[in-house]
Amino acid sequence: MGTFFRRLTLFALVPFAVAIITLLAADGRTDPYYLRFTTPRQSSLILGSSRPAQGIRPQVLDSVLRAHGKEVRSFNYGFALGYSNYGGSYLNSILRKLDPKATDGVFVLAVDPWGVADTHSPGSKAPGKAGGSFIATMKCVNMDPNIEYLLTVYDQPLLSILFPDRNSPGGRMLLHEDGWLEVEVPMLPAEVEKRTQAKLKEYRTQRLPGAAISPVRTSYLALTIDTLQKHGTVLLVRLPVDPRMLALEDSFAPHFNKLMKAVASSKGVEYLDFSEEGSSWAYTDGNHLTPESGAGVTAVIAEHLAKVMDGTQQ
Amino acid sequence: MLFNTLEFALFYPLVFVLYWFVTRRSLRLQNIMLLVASYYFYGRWDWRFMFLLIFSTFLDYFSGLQIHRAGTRAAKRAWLIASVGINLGFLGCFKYYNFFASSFADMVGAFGFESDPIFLTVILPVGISFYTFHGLSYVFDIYYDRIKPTTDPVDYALFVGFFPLLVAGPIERATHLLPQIQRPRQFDVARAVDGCRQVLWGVFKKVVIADNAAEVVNSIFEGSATASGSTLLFGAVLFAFQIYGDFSGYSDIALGTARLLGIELLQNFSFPYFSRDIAEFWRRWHISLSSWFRDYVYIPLGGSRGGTWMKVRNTSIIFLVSGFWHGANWTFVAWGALHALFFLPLLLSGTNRSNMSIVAQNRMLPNLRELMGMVTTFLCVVLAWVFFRAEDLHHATGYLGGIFSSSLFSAPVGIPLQLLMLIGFFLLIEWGGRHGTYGLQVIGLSWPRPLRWVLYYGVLFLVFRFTGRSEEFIYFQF
Repeated sequence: MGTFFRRLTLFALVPFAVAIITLLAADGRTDPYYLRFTTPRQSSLILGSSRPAQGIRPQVLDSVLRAHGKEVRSFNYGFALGYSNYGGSYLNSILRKLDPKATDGVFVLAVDPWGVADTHSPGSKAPGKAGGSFIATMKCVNMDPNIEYLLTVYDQPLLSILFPDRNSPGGRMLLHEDGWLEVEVPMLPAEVEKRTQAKLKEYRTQRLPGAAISPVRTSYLALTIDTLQKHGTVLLVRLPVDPRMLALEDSFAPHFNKLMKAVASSKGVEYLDFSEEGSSWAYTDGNHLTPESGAGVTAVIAEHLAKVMDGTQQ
Repeated sequence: MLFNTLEFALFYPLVFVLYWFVTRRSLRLQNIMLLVASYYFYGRWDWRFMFLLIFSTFLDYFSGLQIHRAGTRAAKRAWLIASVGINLGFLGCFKYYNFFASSFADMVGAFGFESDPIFLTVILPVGISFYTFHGLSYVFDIYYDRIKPTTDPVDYALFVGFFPLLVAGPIERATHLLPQIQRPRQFDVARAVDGCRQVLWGVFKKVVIADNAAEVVNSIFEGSATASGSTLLFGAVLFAFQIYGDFSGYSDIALGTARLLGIELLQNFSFPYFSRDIAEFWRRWHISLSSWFRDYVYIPLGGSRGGTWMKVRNTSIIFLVSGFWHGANWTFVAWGALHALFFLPLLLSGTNRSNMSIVAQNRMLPNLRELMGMVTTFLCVVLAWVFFRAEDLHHATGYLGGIFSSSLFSAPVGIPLQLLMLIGFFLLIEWGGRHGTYGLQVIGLSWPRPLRWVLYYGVLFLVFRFTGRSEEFIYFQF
């Protein structure tokens, strides 16, 4: 038995060393979510789907607020539709990420009709060893390196962390330490239009049929607001999208703004709506803001937040 | 619990330590610990179906004792029929009821009658086909006086529920496994190292070959209506590698993990794609199932005794039943029927046992005749796999029709070069290791240890570098 264990240990030394190096090498290029699970608990969060994940930049938010004398260190904890729709799983994950001692945090909750709707979501069959449910199943969201994520959720071969494929779609994404997901795609008008058409088709054919605002998800949104209000200032934001995407949303949720205003009003929080400004900003695919437009929108949000925090916005 | 999960990676070392260090001094304690671990392993999938497993175990244990104690042949037969009837009743209920109900509705519908069959909404308990056959082999062997029943329910429960083989085989025999459970096991370094090697090779087959092939196969089979003939053929060939990598990979992991515990399981695969005819293929593919049907169905039916008609009848029954065992779908029956068609000419011409030795024995390469035999056999097997993989008969015939179209001679679309290279490496190791019981077993044994370890590190590197998207083991559904 001793001989066996000696040999096994000797043999395992190299793989063990490589495994350690691999786990330590995981970074913002590893995948679009990993780094969000490696930081400590946070006191200020940006929440929602991939729209805020790519469109709201914590660094910009913090610097604008700092210019107003507010010391905030925000963290983008938005994921994607199908993963981070408002609901019990997402709320539990938020609670795991949130510093329970935080009292003066800032919470930007990005909302759109898809995030509080029941839809057929392609995300639920998305890749990942845990399927689309990793938000619900992940127990450790503040561990670096996050072994649970890399071994149970990360759906690429482990060694691709050391040998990443820069030409793959994932290779054009960089997740920053503050949780902002930067997507680098060609921005020639023809390319953008092609991606926009593809995105519109995906939403029209896969998400729209049968889509309807869910009272359960809406009540979870309200519960999320309730929960976060104990830890600081909450702001609801509807981010801008291409007008054609907005038309799709209006086709199944024409009264969404009214609903959000009612939710915000009942909870005593502000609702900032960019939906009428769709043409004023640029998108990578009609759905997600470009990094530059994201910075612009974030600056507007931050200015608004500063006023809310000063109590001058009613 | 799946072999290729983090959970199993934590579960197995714990079992290993408890087995060899904590419970080693007491065989009974060791067996109880293994039984508890096995039930935990099974219960992690769905604990409710553990009751079915326990009931099936108790039924066969009790039936075995009663068959042995019965004073007359008629009484023994009555207990056997009761046991077989209840076992097959459960299997039929969970696995085949909906199939028969819908087939009956279709049949009466064809005569203009309407029927509204009641369907069961229960999922198929994983491993039911395997543990049912374990139990049946036990009562049959007692009935035919090949063994005496065990009086220890723990030993018997462990024979049925031993976790490495519980959900996807190999289908063990009481004559082979039970004696190993009943006697103390000794740790043997060479066997343990061999077990580790077999696990490594099994994991490679599953996560590199099968899981990577699955992605391409799924896409080709789903889009088969518009794919070219060459692409469809490519998809069918890849499925052959997927199912072999998946199932034989599982078997290798099962055999390896059992060997680390000092228990030898039956060999389930022996390089089937190097077979020179279909008869040889069936001596090398899913050996534990083929031999089960041979011993408990074919021979009791009369085997190859009697005239030509009897041989044809019995062989056809075996292949059809074997197909049906895999699932409640006409595609599996068609798969079995096609293999019967391939097999019968060999049986009738008396050449079904002409390739008994290892191909190219004591040579590095096969001769032209052997090569032609291997290619022809592989292509026959590939065409039959189309039925196995297809959603229904319409899909399968459409798929085969698509292969045999003029576009067969066009270039296939979406060839993944990386996967082809991995399959090339896999075939190279399998060919080089065909004298052993699994690919990696004998390769490099005469090399200096550092060089041999480089080979193992290489396989390990491929496992972690080219892991495919995780797919459940195909044979779990059977």
